[in-house]
Amino acid sequence: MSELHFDVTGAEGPKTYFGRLTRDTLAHAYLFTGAPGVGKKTFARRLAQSLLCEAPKTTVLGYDGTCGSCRLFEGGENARHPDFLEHVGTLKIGDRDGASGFYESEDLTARDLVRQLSMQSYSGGLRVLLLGDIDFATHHAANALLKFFEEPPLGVILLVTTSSPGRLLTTIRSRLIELRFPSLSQSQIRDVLHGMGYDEEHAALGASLGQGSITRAVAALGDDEESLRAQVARWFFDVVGGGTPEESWANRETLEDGLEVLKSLVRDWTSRSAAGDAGTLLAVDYQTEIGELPKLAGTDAIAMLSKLDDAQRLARTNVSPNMVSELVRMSLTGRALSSTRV
Amino acid sequence: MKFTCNTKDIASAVGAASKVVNAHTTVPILSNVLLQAENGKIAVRATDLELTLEHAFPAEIGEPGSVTVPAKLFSSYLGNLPAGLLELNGTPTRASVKCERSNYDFHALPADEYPPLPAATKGSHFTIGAKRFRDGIDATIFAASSEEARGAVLMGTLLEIEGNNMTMVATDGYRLAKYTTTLDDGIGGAEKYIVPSRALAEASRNLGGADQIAVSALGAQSNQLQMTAGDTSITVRLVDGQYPNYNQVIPAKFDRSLTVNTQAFIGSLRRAELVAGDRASMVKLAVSNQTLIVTASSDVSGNAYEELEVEQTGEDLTIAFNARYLVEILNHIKSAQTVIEFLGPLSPAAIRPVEPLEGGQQLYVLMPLRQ
Repeated sequence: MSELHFDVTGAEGPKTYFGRLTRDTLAHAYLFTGAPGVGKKTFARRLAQSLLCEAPKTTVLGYDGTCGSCRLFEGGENARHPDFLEHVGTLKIGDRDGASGFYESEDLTARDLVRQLSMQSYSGGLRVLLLGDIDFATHHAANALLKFFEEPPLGVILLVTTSSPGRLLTTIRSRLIELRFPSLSQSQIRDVLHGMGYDEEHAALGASLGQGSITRAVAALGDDEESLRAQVARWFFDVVGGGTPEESWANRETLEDGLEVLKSLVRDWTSRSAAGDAGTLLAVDYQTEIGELPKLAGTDAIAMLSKLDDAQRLARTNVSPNMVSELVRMSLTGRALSSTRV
Repeated sequence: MKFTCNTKDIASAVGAASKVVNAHTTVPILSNVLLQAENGKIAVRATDLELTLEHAFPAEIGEPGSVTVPAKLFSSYLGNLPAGLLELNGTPTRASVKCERSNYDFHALPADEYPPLPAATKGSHFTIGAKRFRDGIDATIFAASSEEARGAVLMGTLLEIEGNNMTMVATDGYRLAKYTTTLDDGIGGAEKYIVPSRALAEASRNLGGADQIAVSALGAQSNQLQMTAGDTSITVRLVDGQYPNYNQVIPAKFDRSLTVNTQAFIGSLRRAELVAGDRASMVKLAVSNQTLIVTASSDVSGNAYEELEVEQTGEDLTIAFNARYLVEILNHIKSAQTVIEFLGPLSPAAIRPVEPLEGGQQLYVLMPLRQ
């Protein structure tokens, strides 16, 4: 029997869960939840690779990495296995055209998936469908897939990931077995960043800024002036400095991550206000700007963080992203002025 | 990989294969065609993962191997070449083509990334006369459903193999088409395959160059069906599911019938349908005294009345049908005379040619409309 791999950092709970399963005890659909960037989609892709791996094995997790099936998974997000379908982000219903073939549009649609799942497997084994960061464009799109969530055809495994499980229709969520992915530790993020080619200094900085998320760590290390973190930080220092930001960073894709960046900056502001230079910062690259901010009263800090929590809850609904950022701006402006008066 | 071939041969093969390729695929390598050089032939393959088309042609092989090239671009290039010889050198990342005094380099993707076809399923192989197979496809697939809401199973056509017999069935719930024929070389037991009707239409179009078609199931659970005629093969992923028991829809006995001139009947129905308008294209058929009266009416268009001489057996009858469905069925009957059998005004009617197709039996069942 060849040596099997399952290269996913963290996710100890899901690893233990799937480690105890066999092909016969595997359920038909799983929901992976957890903060963005904790490895849900990576785990799902590796799980799909394990399920489709041709190497003889008795476990669910693990692939040999050399069989014909595993070769079609090389390239991670660009896996080419014909029995592995992946769609990330908003899923649209798609055009109604029974005469057309598969992949008639550049993105997979709910109708494409229904059609794909109606066909037999290409290679003769299982079929795995990954819906990453799932968000249905309309109820029609969700309802088109409802039947398959409820009772997928034999040999189909559905893997769904989201950081906002509350947004899913209860009729869909109730049909999935939910597994929570915990945030990654700083050492785990450091190891992953090392593996991605970052040097020790940047890996340590990313681990510090990532707050348990690889995605956030990589975004924070981006030296691109237009990275989300840079945009949000500019906006934050403009607002608390009493200025009017020229550009908004908030849209449907960036809202949740942007609010996380704001929370980390307010946390650093609070820490520096309470302990002075002894206060440890997460955003060490903004220590000069944070040091120049007025001292923040403890009650104001609590109120500000509480408002940001409210904003995060709002962000998980269909409320306008600009409205959420405006509410946060009003909250930061009021508190900043009151702190200045203190 | 290295080979020399006739420009016409490769242009024809790549042109046919590139029709399967979708330019907007989410899997980049599916935009390419796979060229495989071995045993004195070049096999050109394209797939959209539902349908795979492969066509082979003779060539002088300098070095066996494979390469994948962008289908649409390569096909357009080949289509603009003059008649003559072409030399192709392939590597995992490049295909260099020399033709007369021109040299082109095309970006390629590694051939080992191209989705391989599964191995043949043991014992599931049969052969059938190409004409009978095409007749069967033509006689049935039009009746398959085109509505997604009715499910992928009804959008497919059932191939039922039992020993040396094959039955093809398609239905959308309102009408049913059945074609029965014999195989040249059957299988030991019985097999059922639900084939997407689009794939059968492609098979009918592309597998015309040989007298016989070899059909093999591929995959551990007979997941795909490969139809091969000469140097061309079409492989299709089968629909997952159970086909309805169609025999329940076909009445076991009828108590009256009429025999009518097929073309005259089609003409009457087409004219009457114009008047029937959007009332489900309803036309009424009244059979009495060896005469068929076709009527239709609508508040907007007026009234239609046509008489046709028929051979009637059994009692008189008045029954209504969707004219479009009836015309579609009659259009697939080659016989000069058609028999329609009835069992009352609300039971399905059976329609069949008086003179059957060579080597195959057609039967159509059509649900009547409430008058």
